[in-house]
Formats: sequence, structure tokens, C-alpha cells
Amino acid sequence: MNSTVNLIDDDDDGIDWVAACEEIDVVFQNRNLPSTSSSSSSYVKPTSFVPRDDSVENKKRNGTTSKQSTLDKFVFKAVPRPPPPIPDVPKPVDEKVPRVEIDPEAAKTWIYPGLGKTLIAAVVMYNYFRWFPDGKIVFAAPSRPLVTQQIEACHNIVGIPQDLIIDMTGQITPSKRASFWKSKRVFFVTPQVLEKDIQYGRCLAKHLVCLVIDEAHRALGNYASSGAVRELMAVPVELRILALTATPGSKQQTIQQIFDNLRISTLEYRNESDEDVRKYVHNRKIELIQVPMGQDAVEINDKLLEVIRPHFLRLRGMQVLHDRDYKTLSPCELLNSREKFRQAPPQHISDIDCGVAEGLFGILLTLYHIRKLLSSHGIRPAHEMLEDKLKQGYFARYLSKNQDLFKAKLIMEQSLNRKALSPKLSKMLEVLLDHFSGFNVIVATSIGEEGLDIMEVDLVICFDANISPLRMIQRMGRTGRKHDGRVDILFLYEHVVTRWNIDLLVLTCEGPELKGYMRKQANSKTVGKHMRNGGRTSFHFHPSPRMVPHIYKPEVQYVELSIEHFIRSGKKVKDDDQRITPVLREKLTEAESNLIAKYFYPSGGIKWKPSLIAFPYFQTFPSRVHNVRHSYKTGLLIDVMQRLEGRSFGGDSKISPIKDEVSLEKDPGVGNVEKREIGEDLLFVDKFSNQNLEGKLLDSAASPRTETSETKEKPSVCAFPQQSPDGHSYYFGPDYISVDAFGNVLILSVPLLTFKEVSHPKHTSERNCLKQVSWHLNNVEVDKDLPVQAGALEDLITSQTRCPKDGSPRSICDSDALQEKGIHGIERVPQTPIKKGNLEDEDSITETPDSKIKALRFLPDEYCNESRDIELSPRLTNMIISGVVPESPVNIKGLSPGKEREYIVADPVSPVQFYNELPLKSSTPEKNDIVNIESNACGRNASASPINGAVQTPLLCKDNSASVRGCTSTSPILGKSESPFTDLTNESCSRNWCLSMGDQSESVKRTRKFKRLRKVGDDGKNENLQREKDSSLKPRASGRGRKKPNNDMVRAFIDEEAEASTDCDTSEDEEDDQNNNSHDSFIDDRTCPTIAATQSATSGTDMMAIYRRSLLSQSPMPRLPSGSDTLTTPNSMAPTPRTSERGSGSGKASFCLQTPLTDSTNQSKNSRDSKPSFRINHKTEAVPCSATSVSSKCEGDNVSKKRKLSFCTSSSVPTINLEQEFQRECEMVCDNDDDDNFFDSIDLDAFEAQATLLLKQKSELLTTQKQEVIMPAKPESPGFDFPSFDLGI
Amino acid sequence: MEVNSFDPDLIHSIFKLVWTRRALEREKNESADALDSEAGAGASKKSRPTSANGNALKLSCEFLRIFVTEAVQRAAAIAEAEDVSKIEATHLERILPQLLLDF
Repeated sequence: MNSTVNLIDDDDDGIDWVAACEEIDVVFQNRNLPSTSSSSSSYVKPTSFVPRDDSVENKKRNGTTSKQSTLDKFVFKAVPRPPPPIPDVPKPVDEKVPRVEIDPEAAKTWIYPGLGKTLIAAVVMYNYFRWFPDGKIVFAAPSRPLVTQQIEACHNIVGIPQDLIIDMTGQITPSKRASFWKSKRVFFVTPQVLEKDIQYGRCLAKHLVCLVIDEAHRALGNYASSGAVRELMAVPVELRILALTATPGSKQQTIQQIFDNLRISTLEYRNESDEDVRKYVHNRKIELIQVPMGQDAVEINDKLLEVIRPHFLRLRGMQVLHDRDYKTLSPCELLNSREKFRQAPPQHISDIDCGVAEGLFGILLTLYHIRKLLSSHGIRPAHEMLEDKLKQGYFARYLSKNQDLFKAKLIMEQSLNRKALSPKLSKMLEVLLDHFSGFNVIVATSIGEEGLDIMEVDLVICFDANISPLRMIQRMGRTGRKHDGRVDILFLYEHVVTRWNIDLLVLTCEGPELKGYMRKQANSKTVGKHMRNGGRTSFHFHPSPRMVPHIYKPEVQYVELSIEHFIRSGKKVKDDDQRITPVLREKLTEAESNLIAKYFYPSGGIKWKPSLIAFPYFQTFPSRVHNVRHSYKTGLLIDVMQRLEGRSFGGDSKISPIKDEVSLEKDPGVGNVEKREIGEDLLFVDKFSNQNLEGKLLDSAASPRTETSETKEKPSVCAFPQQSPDGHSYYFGPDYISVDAFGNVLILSVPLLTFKEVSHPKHTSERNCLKQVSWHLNNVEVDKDLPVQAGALEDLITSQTRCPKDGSPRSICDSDALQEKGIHGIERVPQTPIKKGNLEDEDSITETPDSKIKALRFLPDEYCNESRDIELSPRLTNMIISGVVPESPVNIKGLSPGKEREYIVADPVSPVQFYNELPLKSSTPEKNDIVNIESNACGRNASASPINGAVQTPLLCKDNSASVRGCTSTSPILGKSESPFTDLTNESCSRNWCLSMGDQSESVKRTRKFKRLRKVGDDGKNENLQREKDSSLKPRASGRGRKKPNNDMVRAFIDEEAEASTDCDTSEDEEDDQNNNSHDSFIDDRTCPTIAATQSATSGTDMMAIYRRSLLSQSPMPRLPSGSDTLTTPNSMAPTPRTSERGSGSGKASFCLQTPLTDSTNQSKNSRDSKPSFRINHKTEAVPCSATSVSSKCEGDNVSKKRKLSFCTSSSVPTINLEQEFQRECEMVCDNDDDDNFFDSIDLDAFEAQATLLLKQKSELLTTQKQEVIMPAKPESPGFDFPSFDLGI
Repeated sequence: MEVNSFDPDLIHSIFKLVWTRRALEREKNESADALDSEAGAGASKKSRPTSANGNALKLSCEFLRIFVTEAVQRAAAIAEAEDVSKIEATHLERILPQLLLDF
């Protein structure tokens, strides 16, 4: 077939049905329907054909296919054609291209190989497939490979759904076949299978509508296909049989037998020269190659002839043989003669002579056969034959003494000993090499003759030509399917005998072999003649009924068939090859090769191998996935890693609660804020008391912890650790608690926060409470103011939670005072902070920042107070309006440091703010500025300082996410910080981590969304600066604090803070750089120095927060008991931490402060940031501590130092303020860090969780994109932390 | 299954490379053992190279493609988070443990 081939249509079949095409859904059921068969199918067809040609176009309603109209037409037209004259000259013609279409039950189509039998079969099948929805169609092909070949070919031609197709061979068990017969519709089977299945009733014979028999010429005698047809006829079944063959037979008789066996009613015959086929047929050159027999063969042949001659003469003398040249006699002729002799022995021959003649015939036959072997197959087979014959029998007895034969045999042996190749073989090699170098060669026996459809076959070499024309044609049909092909037939010729001169292509042919070939070709011509005219005259056809009712007239429609790709059965994987995968042909770029060289061909000889343990921190939370989800095992890994890292960081369990809290906080947050505004002092007080109690409890708990952990950082640490876990929760709690307090009173958003906080962070709240309580206790009323302030500071420091608490107390106080005293309260509040600041300043006396802070505080305080009030009010208003509760805390936070104080005040003020709101109006401008500043600060705070964030969070509760986040973040930070410091902290850290993980992201986002985010960036810078400052110098810290305030409040406080601010600015930049560096370093380097730097930088914020916290804690601690006491008592605990922080490093003090601060911001940063922050905190704290407490603070981790520090701190409330400021700053930084962290680590989760929030925050986010950018860097810092941890580990 | 997967031939050659190496290692080990015990038993197994069914190979290609894609995407996420435009080995290391567990 020509690949290009076009197809045939259904028409041939259609022809039959043409007139009546009925859709035969019904057919089966209505079998009796007008299947009026054309009486004599043969007639019908011819007649129908002609008309059909025209009508063809009208064909099936179903619209069969049809690009193949050509074939259809050809099919039809062809039929009527007159048979071509038989060529006189024996051409190696591929003459038979008979295509027989037989109707009645069988449409038999004989098509010359390559002319499209399969195509016709496929189209016919497809039409029946469509016409008879329930009908079964069978395609019978003689061998399994052909079955699989045809199934694919048919599928590709017409696209019958593959799920309805099944190929069945003897390899499938009968039971399976039975089920297939029921479920499938189109079957490709071997005739044997078909016959057996019909016999045993497995195949639903009654449902068969179409039977296609490929290679129908085999249907002779008892061949399976004829048997199958007989079975079917016996049923009887109304079906169409389409028989296809390229070689119907060499004799009329055989063809008639096929007709009879298959009940053929119509014959369609085509050969290559028919016009309708010709254009699709590729040229096929037949080349006869004469190969001279070898010298030895010639000699042997001569000798054999010598042996033959006397016997031949003797037989001829008996007149048994015709007078002929004995040299050209063939075994067949001899056989025929013997047959004739046996049947009719000449009268004149006696019985004895008859026996002699019989013997002579036998001898001659053997000799001629040997000679034939010699000519066609070479010396070796001839020799073997001769040897065999000489061993026994008549031949041996009679000829064993024959000299000539002996000589011939001798020559054969000599030749064989020389191992000379048969001349034909060598010639074949030559041909192959000449024409086929570069081609693949299939060597096949006669099995390769039939049906193989290998399009690319260019050459067929027939080693022996003396075969039946049928097989010759089949062989030739293997080529020329796609391109022009060539058939080389190798003949051996005896140089002596060259009678045949064939002008075909080459070759002079040798006698016997070529002669036989030519004769057979001629014979096939005659057969072709018989078939030309549809065989009407020559053959008897069997009638068959039309299957399609006449009502239906199929019309030709041209339909584009979409054919699914044929999928082979699983065993054959060839289809894989069909998918051409893009091969990268481009060469690698230089950079790419360098990259490869870097990792795979290291010059050092050491291959780079990815480390699985390089980044344990990254294994504590699920990484972002692309398409592949995390597996259960990954979950286990994360779990384990969290626990392992948790040693230093914190428990996972906290996360969930925190998250819950966060969520809770969020919702209630707004309400809380309002509530806060409404916030009653009493409630706050209650809360405070509660908090205090809790805080005490916590402190007590913390104290033991601190004690345990004290070994490391000792008192402060211990206290903090306790606090840290608790603190985190408490911080949250405090915030919440404060909120709770508010909430209790008013159920403000704060309460929600408090609730959350309470549940989780109760510790923090307790701490705050404790602190506050302690403050309250210590400060009493006036003190209370101070405490309140301190609380505010603490709150600021501790983060939002504290702030709220403080704020609440403050607010309570303030509110009390304010409400009662009105503005006074506010003033008081600021004053108190100022006082605190003073105290702090006193404590920090040496520290310029403190003084500055104090001054700032003082100045700002007043302003702040007013502004705070104003701010608060606006905040509150804003908050209330926008629900951005956090801002107020932010403001507070902002106030806490320098301006922060104001902010702090504001925080406390928040309640105050409400109060203040009244005053706000009065100081609106300033307040507004402040507010703005505060807002900025808040934003910063929120983002930067966890404390702020925490405070904000409660306040922000409205912002829920932000606030929550902040809280969570802070708590984690604290926890983290603590964790590094103390085990206790670890828990908190873990929680924080978790919180930070989930919540942080949310919070971060939220914070980002909020102004805080924007601020956060600033805060981050500030924080950085602060950190740097803290780390480097206390003044810096103060400056940072100031700076932050400056940023927020800068304008108001600029003068005071100017110095600090400048420092801060520079420091901020530095910090930023540091942070970035740290991040980078974290990522890349894990070196201690880098870590330290990073820690300092990253922790700077944390440190600030820690400082603040520490200050807060310290302030309360000192207020409450002494540092020493602190260890045991919560108060003391707090101070100790402070001291520890200051002295030892961030340690405990930082914890207190840090936790809150860090919580909000750091949480987002998660363990990473928090860790760094912790470290940083420690360092920074130490620095700040030293700064604040100067001498005592200096890194003295020792409890004594801490105690001293605590004492100092306790004594110096201002230090606390400073710390608070620091904390605020830290918070700011932390927030920034957190945000960054959040963005980095938690973005996805946070987004998901906070999707709603995000929507709101998106605008903010946009604004804060810069911050976000920073954020990523921050995550790096965590990386550093991890490395550092690793190092530690 | 996407059309653009790895080239099966490439993957197959990689596989074969690994198989041969492993076979060599095994041989080495076994030869060491064989000295002690008997040498002939495992020869037939050893001599038979590991092979892959065509579909298995195709599946392997797809698997590897998914694996690599996931690795790159995850590492890219890390790199992006760090604001780096180029994925470095360090980024891969961070996601590697979980990635390996996910597959």
C-alpha cells in the first residue's frame, strides 16, 4: 500500500448495499427484513457497480468517510472493465492485482499487494461498524503478526474506537475469548480461532455482520477460514464476507475453489496497470540477475548430464519420453511423463521393461533433482542429496559404480573442501553491498512472503526464483509500498545454456530456473484474464442477499476522521518511540558548563554533595511546595526537627494556641479596642491584679525555671525562661489580659486578645500583671502612676500585651486619673513614663540615651501625654474607626522609646486616649502629629517591635491578624530568645516558632498591611540601628529608641533625641546593612562572628525589645523586690532577667522584654529571627544593660551582676523606660524582622490564613513592599541563627 | 504526562551508567567474596546487565522530571525569599531533606 494511499471507501461494500442501505440497528432483529438480496449477487454487483459509481456519491447516510472516494470509484469502475490482454512477453509482472469483490455474503476483494487491500477492508469494516451498532465484525488474518499489523492499520485508517477492538489469537484462552466475543465489536483473529470459536459457539455467530478474510487464497480445502465460513453458512448467518488476497491462485480451479469455500458472489480485480490504482502504485522494478555458475558447478553439471544421458536415451528409446534435449528436461516434466507412463503405459512395452522404465525414471528424477539443487542452491545441497541417495536404494545400487557420477561427486567434494561460496551467495552479497549498504536487511524464509507491511522495504531479493507465481507476487508485494522498490531475483545460469534473453532489466537468465519462472509468470497471466471481467464468465459465484435495505441509499460524504493514536498492548512498547522528545541540541553555555564543572567536576577532586543537615532550621517548618505535597514522612521530620530545635527554641504546641489566640484576638480585637477605650480602670486594675497574681505564679514558675536555667544565664535567664514560656503566652496574655482586663470590664478587643493571651500567653500577661502589680505595689498610687508608666513601659517593652496591660493599668490609672482627673491622668501617665524614664535615666544615668530619653520623655512626655492623649484618642478613634487597634499600641510603643515613651504612654493612654480624645482636640495638632508619628511608630512598633506588635495586636485585634501576629510573633520571639537562653524559653520559642510560623506570616502580612508595615520598614531600620546601637552602645540603644521615637515622634522629640536620632539614623542604616548582612550571613555563613553580627543586627530589634522588656521587667522587678529577690519572686525574677539581659546578655531581661517585643515581631521571624534576636538580644541586651546599668549591666551574666543590674534597674525605673524604649525599638526592629521573616518563611501560609486580612492589607502591603523586600533578608538572619545553632550543636 | 519530559534515551544512558557502575562494584565485592567461597555461582547474574522496560523508562523520565521541577521550584522559592535571582546550591540544601522525603 502506498502510505499515501488513499483510501478506499466503504463503497465497495456500499455497492452491495447501495440500493438499500438501511441502518441496521434493526438488521439483526429484522433480519428478515427486506434483505432482498440481489438475486444473483454477481449480477447485481456488476450492474450495481456501474450505477453505483455515480451513486456512490450518494452513499451512506452516515456519511462515511471519504477521502477515499477514489478507491471507491476505482473499485466500482474496475469491476466492469475488460480484462487486459495477456502480455505476450513474459513480464515479471506483478500482474495479479486482482481485486475481487464478491457480494452476496462475501465481498471478496483481491488486491495486489500494496494496492490497498487493508484499506478497503478497514473501510468496509468501519461502515458495517456504523451501520450495525450491535453487529460484530471479524477480520481474519492468517498469522498472529499479521493480525496485530492489521489491527493497527485498520485503526489508523478509520479510527474505530480501540476499546471496541480486540485481537484474539490462540494465545488467549477460550474462556477469555468468549467474554471478549460478548464485549467487543471488532475482532481481529486468526482463522483457526474463528473456526474453533464458531464451532464451540463461543462467538456469537448470529451477531456477525461482516467477515473480512485476509489472504483469502489460503482458503483452499479444509483451511480454517473456509471451515469457518462453512460453519457460518450452516447457521445460517446473514453476513457480508469480504475476502482479500493479492494472489487468488494460479489456476482457475483453485480460484473457483476459493469462491466456493468462501461463497464469493462478486469479484473485483485490479492490477497495477489499472488506472484507478496506478497512481497510487509505486514503481517496482524487477531485476533478474544472472549469476554464472561456478566452474565447479559447471563441471559437476556436465558430469551429471553425462550420467543422465544414457538413461535418458534409454527411456527415450522405450518411447516413454518425448524427444527432447535431455539438458533442458526438468524434474517436473519428468514427473509428468512418469505419471503419464504409469497411467497409460505404452502397449509395446513389456512388464519387465515397465519395471526398468520405472527404475530409470526414478534415477533420472533423482539426477535432475540433484542438478536442480546444484543450479538453484549450490553444490552443497546437491552433494548432500547425492550422498544420501548413494547410501541405499535402487539409485545406489544402480549408479554406485558410475564413473561420471563418481567424478561429479569428487568435484563436489573438492569444491566443498575449498569452501567456495555459492556463486549466488556471493552475488547476493555483492548486490546487497552495492545497493543496500546503509539499509537494514531482513532475512526471512517463506514466512516473510505474505502480508508484512513494512513501508520502507526498498528491495526484495529472492534467492530462488523457481517458485509459484503466487508466492513470487507475494514476495514482490513486500516492496514498493512507500517508495519505488525493486525486486532482485537471483538466477543461476549455466553459461552453456542461455536461451532466455530477458530484456527486463538485466540479466540473461539461466535455463531451467529462469524458464520455470517465465512459464509461471505466463500462467498467472491467464488467471488474470479469467478474473478481469469480474470473473463472471470464468467462475461460478454464490448469491448473497443484500444486507442493507434498499430504502437506504448511502451517500458519500467526506468526513474527516479523527483517529486516536493506536495504543498497542502493554507488551509492545514501540509506541513510546513515537513520542519524540525534544532533544536538547544546544550546547551548554559557558556559564552552564562552569556550573556543572563547579559541582560535578571539581578541580579539587572533591565533589560537592548537597548536605541534608546544613539547614536544620529550615526543617522545622514545611517548605513551600510547588506541585508535590509534603508527605507524611516530611511531617514527621518537621515534627522531630521542631522538637530538636525546640530545645533551644520552643515547643510546637504553642503555635496552635497562639494561632487560636491570634484568630480570637483578631476578631475581638477591634471590639476590644473600643472596649479598651471604654476600658475601665477598675477592670484594668482587676486585670492587673489578676495578671499580677498570674504573673507571680508565673514568676514563681519562672523562677524555678530561671533557676534551672540560671546555670546558663542564671537568674535573669531563669526568670525569663519561665516568663518566656509563660511570658509569651502571658505577653500575649497580658496584652490579651490587659485586653481581658479591658475585656473583663468592657470585653474590649483587648479581652479577646487577653483571652487568647490568657490561654496561651498568660505568662506574659502574668508577667505584665506581675510587673504591673509589682509596679503598682511598688509605686502604689503615685508609684502606680510610675508603675503604670513602668507598666506602660513594660507594656511597650513587653510588647503590646504589656502595653495593653500597662495601658490598661495605665489606662486604668490614667483612665482613673484621666477620667477622674481627666487630662491629668493623661499627663500623669506621660509623667509617669517620664518618671519612669527618669528612673530609667537614673538607672541608666550614665547612658546618654536614658537622659535623652528622659528628656525626651519629659518633653515628649508632656507632649506625649498630650500627644499621647491626643494620639491615643486619634488612635483610638482611628483604631476604632479603622479597627486598627494596633496603631494605638503602636503609638504607645512608639512612645515608649523616646517618643516611644509617649507611645508607651499612648499605649497606656489608649485607654487614656479615650480620655485623651477629649484632650486630643485641644492638642489635636500636636496630637495629630503625634498620632501620625505614633501611627508611624505604631506601624514601626507593630512591625518592628513585637511588643508594639503585641500591644498593637491586642489593640490591633481589629487588625486581628496584625495584632495577633504581632503577639504571636512577639511571643515566639520571646520564646525564641528565651529558648536560646533558657530551656523554658525554648518552649515559648517553639510556640513562638509555631506561632511565628503560621501566625507570624499572618501577622506579618497584617502588620505590613498596616501602617506598621510601612513603619516596620522604618522600624526595621530603626531596629537595626537600635540593635547596632544597643549592641555597640547604650547610647545607640537610647538613640535607637529615640530614633524610633524620632521616626515616629521624631519631630517632637527631635531636639532631645537629635543626637540619638542621628546616631540612630546612622545606626539604622548600619543596622539595616547589618540585618541584610546578617541575613546574608545567615544564609551563607554560619560563622560565629557573622552570627554575632547578625544576631546583633537582627537581635538589635529583639534586643531592643528585650531591653525594653527587660527594662519593663526590671523596672517592675526593682520596684517590686530587689534583683536578688527577683530570682525567687516573680518581681525579682523580672528584674533579674533584666539584669541578666543587661548583664549577661539578652538573657532573662531580654526575655521579659524580648518576649513581648520579640513575640510580635520575632515570631514572624520565627525561630530564626527569634534565635538571632535572642542572641542579639543577649548581646544587645548586655550592651544596653551595660548602658543602662552601665557597670553592672555590662555583660555580667552572673546572677550577681544581674541582680545588681536588677537592683540598678529596679532602682532606675528610667532604665526600664529606656529598656522599654529599646524594647520598642527592638520591637520595631523585631517587627521588621518578623515581617521579613514572615514574608520569607510564612508568606504562603500566612496568605492563606490571612487571606481576608491580606485583602485588606494588600494596599498596605503594596506600600510596604519595600519592607517586604527587607523581610526576605531577614529570613536569612534566621538562617544564620540556624547555622549558629548548628555550630552550637 | 507532559509532552516535554526528559529524553528517554538520555535517562536510559544515565541509568545504564549507574547500573554498570553498580555492577562493577558488585563484581568487585563478590570477587572478594568469591575468593573465599565459590566464584562461579553469581556469574550468570552478574553478566546479565540490568535493563529497563520501555514504559518503565518513560515513567522514570516523568518521575525525574517532576522531581527536578519540584526541586527547582522549591529552591526558587527560597532564593526568591532571599531576594536572590540565582538559585544556588545552598538553596537546594535547604529544601532537600523535605524534598527527598516527599518523593
